[in-house]
Amino acid sequence: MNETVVGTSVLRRDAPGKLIGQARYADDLVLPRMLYAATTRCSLPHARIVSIDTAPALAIPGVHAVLTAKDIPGTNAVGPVVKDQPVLADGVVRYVGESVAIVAAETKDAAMAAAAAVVVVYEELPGVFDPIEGMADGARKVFAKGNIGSRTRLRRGDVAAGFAASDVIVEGDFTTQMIEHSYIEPESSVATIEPDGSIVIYAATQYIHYDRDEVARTLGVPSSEVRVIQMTTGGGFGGKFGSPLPQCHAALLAMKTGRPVKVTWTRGESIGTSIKRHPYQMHYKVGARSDGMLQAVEARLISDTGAYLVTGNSVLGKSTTHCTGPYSVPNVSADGFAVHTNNPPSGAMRGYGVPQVTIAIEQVMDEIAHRLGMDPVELRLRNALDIGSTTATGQVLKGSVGIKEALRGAGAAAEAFRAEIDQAPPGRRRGVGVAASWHGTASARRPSEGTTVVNVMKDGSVSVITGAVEIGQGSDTVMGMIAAEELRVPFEKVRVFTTDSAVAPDCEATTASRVTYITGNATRRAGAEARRQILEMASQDLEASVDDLELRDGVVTVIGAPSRRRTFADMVFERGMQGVTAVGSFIAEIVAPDAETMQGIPHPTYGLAAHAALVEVEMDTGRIRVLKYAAFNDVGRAINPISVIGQSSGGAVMGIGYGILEEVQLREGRVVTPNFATYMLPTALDVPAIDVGIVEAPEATGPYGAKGLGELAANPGGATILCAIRDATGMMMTRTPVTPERLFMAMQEAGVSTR
Amino acid sequence: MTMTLPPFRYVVPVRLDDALDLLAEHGPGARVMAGGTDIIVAMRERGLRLGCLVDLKHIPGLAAIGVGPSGSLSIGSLTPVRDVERSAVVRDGWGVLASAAGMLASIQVRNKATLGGNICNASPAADLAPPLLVLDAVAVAYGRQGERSIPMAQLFAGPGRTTLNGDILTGFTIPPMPGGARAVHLKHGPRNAMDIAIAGVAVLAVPDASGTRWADARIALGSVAPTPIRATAAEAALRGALIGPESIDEAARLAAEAASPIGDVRGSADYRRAMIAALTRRALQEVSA
Amino acid sequence: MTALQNPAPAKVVLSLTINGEPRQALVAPHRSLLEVLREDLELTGAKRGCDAGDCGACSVILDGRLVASCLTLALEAEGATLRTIEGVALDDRPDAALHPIQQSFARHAAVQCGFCTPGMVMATVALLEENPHPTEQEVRQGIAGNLCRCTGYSQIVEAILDAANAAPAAQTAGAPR
Repeated sequence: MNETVVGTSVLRRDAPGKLIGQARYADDLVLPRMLYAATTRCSLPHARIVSIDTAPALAIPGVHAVLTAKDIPGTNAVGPVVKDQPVLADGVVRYVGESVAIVAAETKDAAMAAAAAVVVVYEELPGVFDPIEGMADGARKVFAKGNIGSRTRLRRGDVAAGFAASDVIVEGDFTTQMIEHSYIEPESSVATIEPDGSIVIYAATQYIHYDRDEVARTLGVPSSEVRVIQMTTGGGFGGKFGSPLPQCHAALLAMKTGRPVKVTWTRGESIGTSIKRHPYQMHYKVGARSDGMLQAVEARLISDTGAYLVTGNSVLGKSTTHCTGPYSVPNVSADGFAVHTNNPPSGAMRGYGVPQVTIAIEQVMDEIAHRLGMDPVELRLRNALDIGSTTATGQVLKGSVGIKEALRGAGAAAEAFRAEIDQAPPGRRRGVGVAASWHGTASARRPSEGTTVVNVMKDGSVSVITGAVEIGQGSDTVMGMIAAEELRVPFEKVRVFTTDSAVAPDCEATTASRVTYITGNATRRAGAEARRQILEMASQDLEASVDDLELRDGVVTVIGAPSRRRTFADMVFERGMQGVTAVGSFIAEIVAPDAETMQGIPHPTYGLAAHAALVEVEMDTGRIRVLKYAAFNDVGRAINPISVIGQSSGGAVMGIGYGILEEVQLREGRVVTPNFATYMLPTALDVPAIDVGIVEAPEATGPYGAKGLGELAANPGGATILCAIRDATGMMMTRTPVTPERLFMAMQEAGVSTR
Repeated sequence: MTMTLPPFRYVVPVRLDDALDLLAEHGPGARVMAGGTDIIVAMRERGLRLGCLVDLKHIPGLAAIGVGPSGSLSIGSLTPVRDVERSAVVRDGWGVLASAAGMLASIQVRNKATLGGNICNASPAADLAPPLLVLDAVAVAYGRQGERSIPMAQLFAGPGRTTLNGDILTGFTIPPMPGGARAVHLKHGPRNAMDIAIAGVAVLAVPDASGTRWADARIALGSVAPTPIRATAAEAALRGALIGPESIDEAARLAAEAASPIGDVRGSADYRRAMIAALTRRALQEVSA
Repeated sequence: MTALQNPAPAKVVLSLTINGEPRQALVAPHRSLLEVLREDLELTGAKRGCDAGDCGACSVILDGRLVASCLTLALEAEGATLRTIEGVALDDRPDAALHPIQQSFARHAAVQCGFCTPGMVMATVALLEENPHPTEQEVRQGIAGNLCRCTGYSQIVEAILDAANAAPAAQTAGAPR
């Protein structure tokens, strides 16, 4: 490792603009003659639309358009993986808050009044709100074809033999809740029609090209007619990829009115109607020998995908392939079902099905350790994946398996925490927990591409053009660092452009922990190719071998003879060139899991993590405080360490929220926690400083050894807190979030003294 | 939740009589506004529609904090909750009120929300109600008939309803804490900030001269009944009883019995009742420690 | 209900001082201060995160008090002195346009998506003016009304503690010049 930029902590260049309030988010944008949109939403979980009367809405002064499904010129179905979500409900509504009509008006007041004035007559249909009920024979149907939207089936080895060889078998049922991404910026898009008739959309988004294609399909125009420009985006976590409805709605209204239209959702719309994290019901049966070695894992995973699948099949797939946790298990059998209900649709959220199975398997691991009288960290270390291990999908890991190092780090942190365990005030008990998780980098369904264009300008400064958008996590900085590294220029001389679908190559979404790995590789290749071209020119001019040349900040010198030099500016000027442009592409190759057994190579590489927490439980209320937290994440290589620390801290806190605070509560499909007063995010007072340990087990196929972090950082948090609660109270909690009430009631039921 | 607030008139009287005139003029669609932190949310999220908001903040003297000759605290209804929290006078003499003020929502909200607004909303979960109840505060109201006093225990009529009957709450008179008294307010929620209480308990207790028995004890409960209430049976059981686990447990049991909570997104009725017992027990332990 | 039959009340002129400059806007009574800042006065730094006082992204300093501008009617600010994120940077110092608090946020990577950032900075300004040398716990109390979903708060807390230690006690941010 002799890099000069990569591996150093670089401050992001978007920070000053954000700090002075000048960064431009979609809702900050005001265009001349712009109209404001509002949405008519259904208040029933399942109903047939008998009629829609838009006339009263159109009669309101200032209202320019009221659109329903029949006004959609193209295809009325969107979704990142499965296109089954209507842009506007057509004939049937399947969840509370589904959009039925959209309006555009001169003012927000008029738009809101118009949305309320649309008269929709419904014939209410019976709803199904629980996936287990939905799977039963004769269940009420969300779709005529049946409620099971997707199935997975993983088979490896012989679980019966594995259980027969086991000395201890642990079984348990686990239930995880629906949660909301809770990006602080609600969904927002502005659409406008250009003078040439094409459409431009300014959006808060995680994937400009996806939005472009979905808008084009909705409008029935070629993708070339649509241009999506990402505005500074206030967080995504999967939710601003999950559904392109704001973009499609803005585009439809702009097309109809010929005027710019802004769609900005309220927080209530965002929590109430956007895509969510799937709630899961899981049954696990795990066998181990008396030496702790896992022999078999049997898992049944049922997800509530709500009214639409959108990505539910793919999320379920990731849960299934990750169901064992980061452990080597010879015999695995897993069956997954994504079931439709009349609840809000769930889809992509940071973790993509892995936080759920992590809750289950890590609780089971602690129970096995308890029954064997073994230290829980030791149990995990004995079973941890390593180079040469085979995963549940039969994938042999070739390198970059830092789970043991992460576990040792978390184990040491846990030991340090344990020193404080007896310092609990009267009436409180403390406990320490360690949990591990993993996360396959990039999509499991098919190869995954990234492309970057690097321009070296005449003055030696550099532009990097690529389509993987920044959503706050720091990817633009990483791309700039990689280009600076390859071209040996200071980071300050590199600008990164990722926001414009008309210019940037389609790099797929900023999701799946894939940007640093895939687009990073593409950027590195583009940078290296540009460097090669520059050295090639110098090699001709200086009559020296490329191997003897050194490029530094726009000047090529012969190593050992610095007076023999050529400037980049001179070389391109003399050749009549305007600079150098190079393209780099990278495709992550996978072997898609087999449909019957899910055997395959779903991911090019895996991030691995182990976290530790010290918690304190108020015994008379069940109130839980997280006192200390340490996160050890194997990122392969930290390209920008300060950014790795930030993403790791944020992920840990999101995991804590998942474990003990956050829940989208539903009553017959209706969200009853539609604001941040009832949907409870951790505040600064609810979490400790997060101690981040960066583990670097280099990934040979990653840029400088790097692999994905985004989701990994958030996967173990919930499970870690649950393990610590168990240590404190002896209670294995099987339902998240572990609210004070759930813990208190469970302790009472179990006869644990709550005094 | 709406994108904008529904339209209303907004008026800013500078005299109490003008405020009463404006309220009369606009009838049932008019409401007084203090900090506005709840009424604005009620309009955005809970469908409240009003014809006129009468902002009281420009009426002089309604945000004053002072101690009268009798040693009583007089505190204006328009006093921001943040000022209640930080006032040296309140902290020194009526600390339980200051400490409860510091538990309400966020600094941003406390800077705007007022003592009177928190009480007049008559939310069962009003953070400042239990301490005012145990402090035996007296509300001062101004109406057509002039000024009248309403003991705290008679101020609430039901969820969202008071006995002000159109009069304007101008402030509170709070007697000095009895000699030797200690008071504490415990608020229970899953977080350390921003929560609306699942349950809240304020306790004020006075030991007798020997320090072995309870001479007086007052217990108020929040979030567990249609209004904040005093747990009078628990108080009576404590009076004269030996200070110790037995009397504390009995008071906790009686306080829980006094609660008639509902279940909602924050917690079930059973849990709330259990929390009243737990918080009462802990509060009594704290004041007797 | 009679209240609903009222026609939309007339707009009135709002005059106030923002970041040291007199500003005016013609506003209807039902507009929040946040809306008027963002939509009429072209000050889009304060963000609309929840419109209910739960997230802190819209924080401004109104007559010396940190408030949620979404829970403030614009007309409540009549005659007031208002400080917003746009007034925090020391733009009269060309060598260091950012206020030391902002510099510290940048240095500690306390900014990710940035949507909570303006509110966080305003909360920090208010905190440090009141308590120039807070403890970690006091810092966390000072920003407890500001939700952040990206950072987990660690780097924000570090940045504030660092700014407090580096800053002279008397410093004020965005005060009228």
